[in-house]
This record gives sequence, C-alpha cells and structure tokens, in this order.
Amino acid sequence: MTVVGVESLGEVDLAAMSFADQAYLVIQDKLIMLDIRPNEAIVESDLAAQLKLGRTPVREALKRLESDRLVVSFPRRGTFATGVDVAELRHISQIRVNLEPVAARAAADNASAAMCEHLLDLAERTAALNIENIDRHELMRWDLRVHRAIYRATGNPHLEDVLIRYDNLATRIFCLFLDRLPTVARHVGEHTDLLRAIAAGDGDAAAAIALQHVTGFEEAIRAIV
Amino acid sequence: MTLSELSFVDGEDGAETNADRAYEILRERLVMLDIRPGEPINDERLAAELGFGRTPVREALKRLERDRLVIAYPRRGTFATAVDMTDLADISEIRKQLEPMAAARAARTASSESRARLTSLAEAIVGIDDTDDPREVLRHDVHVHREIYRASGNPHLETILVGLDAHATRIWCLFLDRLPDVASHVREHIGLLQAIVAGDGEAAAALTLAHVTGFEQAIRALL
Repeated sequence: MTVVGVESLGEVDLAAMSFADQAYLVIQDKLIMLDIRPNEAIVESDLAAQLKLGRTPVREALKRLESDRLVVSFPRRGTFATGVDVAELRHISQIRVNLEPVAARAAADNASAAMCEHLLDLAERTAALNIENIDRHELMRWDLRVHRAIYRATGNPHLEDVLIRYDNLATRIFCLFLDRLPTVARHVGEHTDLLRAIAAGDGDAAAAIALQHVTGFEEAIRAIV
Repeated sequence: MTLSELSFVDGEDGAETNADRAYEILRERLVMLDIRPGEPINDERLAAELGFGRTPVREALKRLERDRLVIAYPRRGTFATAVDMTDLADISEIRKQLEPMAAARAARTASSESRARLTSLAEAIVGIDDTDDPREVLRHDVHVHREIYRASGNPHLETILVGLDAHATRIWCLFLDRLPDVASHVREHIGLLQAIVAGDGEAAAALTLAHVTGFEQAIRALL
C-alpha cells in the first residue's frame, strides 16, 4: 500500500471551499513542508500568481497563518515565514507534552463507535505503510492526518484548535531535520499503537503512548541540534 | 482599564492597524457580553459606528470567528457565538493543564520588571471591595491572568491562554448576577501573585489549579 490517495491537504474538497480557505491550506502546506523555508520572504503578488488566485484571498490566508505563527509580518519590511530556533522548539514542546496525552485520553473516553472504526482503519493503514519507500513529505502528511483524526475524536473543539496549530508547527520542525533523523519510521509506527489504544477505549495506555511520542520527538531533534 | 489596553497586540512598535483596533474593541464587547450570545452582528453598522472602513471590520470578524467568539453562516450573516455549558468543560480541560504550568514557569523565570508588575497588581487587588462593580472586578481578573501568562515567557502559551480566558470570562459574565462572590474569587489571586513573585513554582501551580477548578465548580453549582 502506498500513500497515494492520501489527500495531501487532509480530507477536503478544495473546489468546495472559498478561495481564501484554499489559499490558506495550500500555503500552510508549503510552509510546513518547507517549500517556503523558515525566515523566507513571502511576496503576496508572487504567491497569488503561483496559486492562480487573487491577492485578496492570499492576503486573508496570510493573516490567518500569522495568527497560527507560521508567518510573521513587519510594517514596511514585509511578510516572512517565521524562524525556528531552540527556544521555539522548547515552547512548542511544553504545550504538546501537556496537551497531547490529555487529547489521547479524551479521544479514548469519548470517541463514538463510528470514530473508533475510522481510527482502527487508520491504524491498519499506518501499519501497512511501506515506510522506507514513501516520499518523506507524503509520510509527514500522513502523520498530520492521523493526529487530526485523534484531535477530532476528543470531541473538544477548543482542544482540537490548539493541537492542530501546534502539530503544524512541530511537523514543520520535524521536516527541517527529516534527513538527519534516523527515527522517522519508528515515530510514524508509534501511531499504530496509539490509534489502537484509543479505539480500544484504553485512556491510560493512550495517554502514555502520546506522552512518549511527543517526548521522543523533542529528544530526537535535540540530539541533533 | 479596558481589555484593549491589555491587548496582546500591544502596538508598541506602532504597528497596530485599524483591523487590530476593531478586533480589540469587538473582542471586549463579545467577552463582556455587551454583544449578547447569539446576537446578530452587522459589519456595515459596526464600521459606521467605529469610524472604520468595512474591510478592517470584516478582517476583525474573521479573526473573532477563529477565536470562536463569532460565527458566520452563508447567506444568514454573522452572530456572536452562544455560550454553551459544554464549553465550560472543554475549556476547563485545557486550562487545568496549562494554567498551572504557566504560573509555575512565571514563578521560575519571570524577570524582575515582571515581578514588580505582579507585585503592584497584587496591591491593587487588595483594594477590591465586595461592593465594587463586578464588571470592573472581572477586568482586574483578566489583567492578572494576562500578566501571569506573559510572565511565563512562552509566547505560545500566552496566546492559547488569552484565547481560553476570553471564553471563561464570557461564562463569568453570563452568571455575574448570580455569583455573589466575584470579588473574593479575584482576591484569591493575591496569594498566587505572591507565590509567583517569591519564586515558589509549586505553590503557584497548586493555587492556580485550585482557582481553575473552583471556577468550574462555582458555575456548575448554579446550573
């Protein structure tokens, strides 16, 4: 099984969305996958031309990405992808270490039968991934998708909002070090256990795996920076 | 003191735009329930009233939508979101994790300037009287929370908690007439502020957890 068919931007129908939402998702993907590198200047008109969208939806998308802290704009200097440094990694990890286990537990406690079935399906598909041969970016998109399904399963929209934002920021950092991280396969494999624990309604196990997963991520990156 | 003066967008670099100002003004109205839950919001009328163009007002409304303070329906318009009691549980679930961490971090890492600000806040709260206007008392509460979030030194944590505090404050406001004890709730912060200033992270975390839990229980007792 390959990840072909994994919609790169999640389970969304771009054509059904507003131009601003489309621009938001496409630019977000470019930022996370480092098509736009940290600290790189972002020229609204170039981006609009590239995406074949108007400047207004692109501007609206950039504003939204600014509140997600993926871009930053300075008066009279322009808009840039935000930088990534060790302090940033620490700040993001502090939040995820606290909230990811809570989300995993909430998902285990609250997921409906249909949701559990969906999570189990994701678990099977994750287990079947031929991780060594998949394009790294596709693998990262799969990673995002699994996390999102868990956040949705919590049934707490406020928690979902926060965790999506921080998963995006963490994944961007992950992408920066992808070539130098030996543990990508294991990292993605951990999701299989996490999804199964949630689907089984085992909150303690799910929380423990989630904590291990987030801590392992930070340690792997710290070991090489 | 208004919420806008305590804004996260502090405009120190002169970068505050009309959209930012519109955002802060509308946010305060939504948080303090000057715009009631479920009330329709007319961007044209607001633009005229605030003296801004429609574009900054629309931009502000988009931002408030992401904050879950307003909701837009195609062809029906924009409304203040309802204050739903499931929000109380959802928000508390996150705050119980992050608020104690923010307080503990503030105790461990706050700069001396920050500690001085927290000290003067504690002194201001001592002066709160049971007969004070409860809305003004709540503004003190918002201010204390924001200073602690800022003192945590983690800008991400600050942003998340400012956003959640808006929802918690809305719930407070909804029950303000039926909560006799707002002043004493806010005075609870004196001990917390002192713990942070003294650098006692453990005490600060414990007091914060008790505060967040106490808030949830006080509201639940009214339902």
